[in-house]
Amino acid sequence: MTKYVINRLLTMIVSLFGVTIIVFLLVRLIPGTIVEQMLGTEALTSYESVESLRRYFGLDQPVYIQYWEWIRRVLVGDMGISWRTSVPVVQFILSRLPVTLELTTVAIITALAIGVPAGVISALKQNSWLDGVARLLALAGLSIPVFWLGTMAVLVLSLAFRWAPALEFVSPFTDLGANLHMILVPGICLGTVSAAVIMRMTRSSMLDVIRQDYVRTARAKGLSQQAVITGHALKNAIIPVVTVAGLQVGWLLGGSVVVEEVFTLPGIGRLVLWAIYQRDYPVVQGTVLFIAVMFMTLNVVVDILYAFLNPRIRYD
Amino acid sequence: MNRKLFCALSFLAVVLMLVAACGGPAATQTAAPTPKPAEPTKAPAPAEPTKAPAAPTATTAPAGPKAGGTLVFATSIDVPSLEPHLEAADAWHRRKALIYENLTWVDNDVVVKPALAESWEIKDDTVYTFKLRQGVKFHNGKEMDAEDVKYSLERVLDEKVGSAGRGDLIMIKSIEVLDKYTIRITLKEPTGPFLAALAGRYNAVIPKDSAPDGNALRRTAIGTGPFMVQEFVPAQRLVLVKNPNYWDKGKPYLDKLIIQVVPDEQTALAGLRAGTVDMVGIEDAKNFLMVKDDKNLVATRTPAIKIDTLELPADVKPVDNIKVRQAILLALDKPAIMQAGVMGLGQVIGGMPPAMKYWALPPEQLPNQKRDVAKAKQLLAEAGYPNGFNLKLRTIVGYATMAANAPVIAANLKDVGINVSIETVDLGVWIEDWRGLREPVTLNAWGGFTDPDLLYYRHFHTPPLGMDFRRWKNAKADELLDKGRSTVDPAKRKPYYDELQKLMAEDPIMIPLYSADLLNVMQPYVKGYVQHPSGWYYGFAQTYLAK
Repeated sequence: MTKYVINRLLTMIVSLFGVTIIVFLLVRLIPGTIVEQMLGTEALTSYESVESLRRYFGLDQPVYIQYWEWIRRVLVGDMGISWRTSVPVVQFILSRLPVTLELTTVAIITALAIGVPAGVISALKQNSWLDGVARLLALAGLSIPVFWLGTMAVLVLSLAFRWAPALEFVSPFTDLGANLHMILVPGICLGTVSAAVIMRMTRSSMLDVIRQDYVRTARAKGLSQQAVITGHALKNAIIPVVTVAGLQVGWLLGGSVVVEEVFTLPGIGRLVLWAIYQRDYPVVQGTVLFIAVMFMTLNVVVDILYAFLNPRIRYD
Repeated sequence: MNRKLFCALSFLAVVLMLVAACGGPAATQTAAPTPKPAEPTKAPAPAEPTKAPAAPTATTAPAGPKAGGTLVFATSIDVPSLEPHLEAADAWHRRKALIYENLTWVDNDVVVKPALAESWEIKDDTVYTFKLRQGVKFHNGKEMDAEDVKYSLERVLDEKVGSAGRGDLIMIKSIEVLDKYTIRITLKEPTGPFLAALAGRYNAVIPKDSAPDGNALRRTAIGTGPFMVQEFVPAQRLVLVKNPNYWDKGKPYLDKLIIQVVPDEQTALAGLRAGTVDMVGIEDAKNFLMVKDDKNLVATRTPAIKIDTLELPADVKPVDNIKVRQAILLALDKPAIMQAGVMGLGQVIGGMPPAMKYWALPPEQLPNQKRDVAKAKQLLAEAGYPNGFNLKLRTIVGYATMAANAPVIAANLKDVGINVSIETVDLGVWIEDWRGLREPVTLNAWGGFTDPDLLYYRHFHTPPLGMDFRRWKNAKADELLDKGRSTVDPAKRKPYYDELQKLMAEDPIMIPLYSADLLNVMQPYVKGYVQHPSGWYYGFAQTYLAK
């Protein structure tokens, strides 16, 4: 088990290096640099001030030198400062991270709270009208784009209930009520699409499991349906769902951009988008690296959890 | 049984969706090939706020201005830094009008007025002696005097600092401090736009030695304006508080002004309905149309000094032939383009936008403004293109008005045989080509200058004094621009710019299409805000909450 974990961690570190290189190159492929963003079309800029700005940001160096200059600082914990606003990158990210984390948490809880029971019921009552409705809703959830759902939610809630997304983020530790008021609606919107994926996974996994011999044995032993489901079937059916849920969190971290834009939440999704438009390379690189670390750590945790839940693979 | 039920439900859902999408009033905004404009826009329409009457500066409202309160203003454009001499983002200049001040400012009627300079004398057209306002305090308590002004202007002029405002002040030969409140600026030669240039976007007065480098004033501000910066969170919000020592006693009325960045305008409008937002600056005309008839809100339109244009550089085949350029101008249906671009919420223009007031010639006084397909075809034939030709038209990613203008222009030009293909490029690429003087036929959106020289000189005068971005190399234009610049009396300058506008309509190197209005929506208790045509937020100094 320990060997497994160490192996995973080493793979993670190598992957992270790969991520940094890819992001570094990709963002430099986008035409235009921060110099044009800063100077704009109207500025009377001599060639000299454009060049001096380029030198200031190190953009005149070869790419591998720029990468080395950046990565050697990152390795000692210095992610640099935002070129556009002079805010230190780490500070920028940390100021926005709690929002995205909370949003993703609400979303995944919504997804599991809706998806798992729906999937179980659907599987148990397979081919009934209940199953049909649930599958239809799952199809809708998969097909509806999150940005549409978010925009519609804002429109409907504002017209019907005079509700509007909050302008400023309030931490749950400061005022839980206000915080929930602003995070529930976007979290649920974001979670609905995930719920569909989880529902379908739960349903198919459950269908698989209840046909197994040991379930038939449990029923034959005289256990109640409830005991069979929770005690035997669900425990096994939930394993693939845990993996999917883990992957969903990764998707949610990315999909949060749209929800953050629509609901004006100051999260890291919006931060990355903003930084890309501004060609603020340190922020793009730093934020993507951060997200990659979070996502990969999560995957390692899910893998360990998987091993814990499923003794069969524990001793590989 | 259940399989059938599932299929039936799915089918029903799809049918319902189709009906919902296709039925209902067509609130769509896709530019049809020949759309009819909503109202015929011949003469430029004056500002027509739909609720409150357009009150110019001095408000004589029945219940006078009330002091106090916090106003939340939502806008979708954010501001990366607060540097007064270095930050080029237009969104910053809008806000800067409340925090920093210059020696002069240009008012809503595009007339230069005193700001930090109380009065001035001009000798020999080149020596300006300014008497500064006394008792003006910076936000840090220091009194403003001539040394601060000298420091600020010299910083802008310093090549090492790299301010884009250097071009505005390049005509200055020397700056002398005569005494604490008197400063003398000598110009190299008579320059008509000098006082307007002093009011420019980069030339704010800051305390002496307050900016040893480009970072000192990026996240804080020390100005003399009606509001002070309490909190600045980049890409999120700017919180301004009343300057208790502001020299215009009694102003501003508001205690606090929160400029909140809300990237999705629908969300901002939801905030208006819910009462969490007091006022929204709208960038997308479609959103304005959604709320302009709402009885609970006040929606205003103000003519602006920005223009949307079609650029025809003089060295790009086949628009290098003047007849081809004229043909293109005659082929355009400007009202239709404006309808597509900004839902008609603007003014069709031929030269300068009507918000330039005194300087602007209305389209009726300019040649080639009426659509004339027959004449256009004839000109093309004379130029050697009886069967038209293919043309690549460039637009910029993310500029929704350009994306809407382009298809209408393409349709208009197809009527005369020109086949337009639209090429969309990133802003960075566009800027590189533009500054490298190699851009192709392209759409553009610019303007925002408060003097005709500041608007046209750099754009059209040949190098080395100008940039001649479109490689026009027009000697007559150079002559008019030089005369307009070196004459100081506005009445004597006007004829040169009138002739220049006519010349630009005769030889359409740049075709002004329309000027989009500035759109605001606010709660009915927000009073006293008058939108400045530059888009800047001067109006908040006079705004109060009647509640």
